[in-house]
Amino acid sequence: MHIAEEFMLHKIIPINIAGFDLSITQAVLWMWIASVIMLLFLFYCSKNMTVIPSNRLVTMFEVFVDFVKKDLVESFMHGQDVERFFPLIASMFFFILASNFIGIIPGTYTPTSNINTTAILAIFVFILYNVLGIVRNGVGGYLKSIVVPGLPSVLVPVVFVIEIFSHLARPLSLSVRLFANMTAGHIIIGVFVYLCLMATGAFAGGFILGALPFLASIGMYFLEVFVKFLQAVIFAVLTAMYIAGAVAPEH
Amino acid sequence: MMNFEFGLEFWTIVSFFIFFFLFAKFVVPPINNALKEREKAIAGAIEQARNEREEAEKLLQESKKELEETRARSSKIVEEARAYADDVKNDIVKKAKDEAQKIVENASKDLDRAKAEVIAELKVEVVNLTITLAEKLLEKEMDKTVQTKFVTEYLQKMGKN
Repeated sequence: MHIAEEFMLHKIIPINIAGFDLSITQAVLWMWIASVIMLLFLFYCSKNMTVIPSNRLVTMFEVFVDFVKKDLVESFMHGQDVERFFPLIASMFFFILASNFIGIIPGTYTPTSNINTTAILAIFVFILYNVLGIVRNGVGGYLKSIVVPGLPSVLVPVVFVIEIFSHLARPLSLSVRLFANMTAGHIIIGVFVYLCLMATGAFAGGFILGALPFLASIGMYFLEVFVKFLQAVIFAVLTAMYIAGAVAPEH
Repeated sequence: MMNFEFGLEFWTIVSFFIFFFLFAKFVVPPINNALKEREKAIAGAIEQARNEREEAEKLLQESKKELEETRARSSKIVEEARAYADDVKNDIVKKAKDEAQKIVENASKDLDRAKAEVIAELKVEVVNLTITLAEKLLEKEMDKTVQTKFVTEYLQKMGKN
């Protein structure tokens, strides 16, 4: 048994179209399972919202929706943009949340612990906010909005170059942050479990020594639950922030 | 996990788009509807509460006014009753006084009359006594009428003195 094996992709249904490998791996399968569970939860809850909240599951859903709307969208956007971008930010949040949380079930695969998953989402966000910025402000207006207004004219080209690099770094940081957090938690749990097994198998009574990493792995598991939620929030917050900064630079 | 996997990227973005589409199409409208409905219900409840409070205030004001009026009316009634009672009392007292006065007057009138009668009788008695006395003194009979005339004249003279 090797920890790295846990993160390997196995083709479940090999598909190859025009030289592109579009095989369904366990990452894709678990992403779908997570998405379907999440969508069923969202459908059920949104259909069962009542004037006076009475269902606990629906109340939890409402807390999530309220959180996304108030803290993730309204903190950065104003007016009509809130209604316009809420579905995107919320679906990004719920999609990543589902993908993150499916991994807490042992034996599953966390789709977001693969860099390809997070990278494509980050690239999508990058392209989206740049396109939105150009559509809203025009190419010139958008390029001008990249530099903070009110700078001395000498500094403008320098800051512009720095800002371009910071923009280019955004998808990288966005994807690596999510991927690394999702991977690291699993690796640490794996290491602890490995240590536990090694200690237990090494000598008689080794399970006493092995109990330590075992307990640590349980603690890590709960920490990971928190991190999974946190990373989904961070991804959605940054998406909202980038889009808001592009469509309405004055705010 | 760090290898480039075109398939995973492709399926991720496709899955996300489908997820987004389904979310925007089937989850967001019910949320908005429910929130709108809740907003309406809350606004309605607030409005209703405000109306009810206004109505209650109006009723309170009315009942206060009514109480005030009733109090004023009752005090007026008491006042009137007192005045009437005073009238009646005065009337009765006056009547009683009058009655007493009348009784006293009648009594004094009766007394006067009795006195006069007594005096008159006394006079007659005195005359008779005098006559008898004179008869006895003179030891002779006189004409009764002359006697009477004589005594009366004498008495009148005495009365004048």
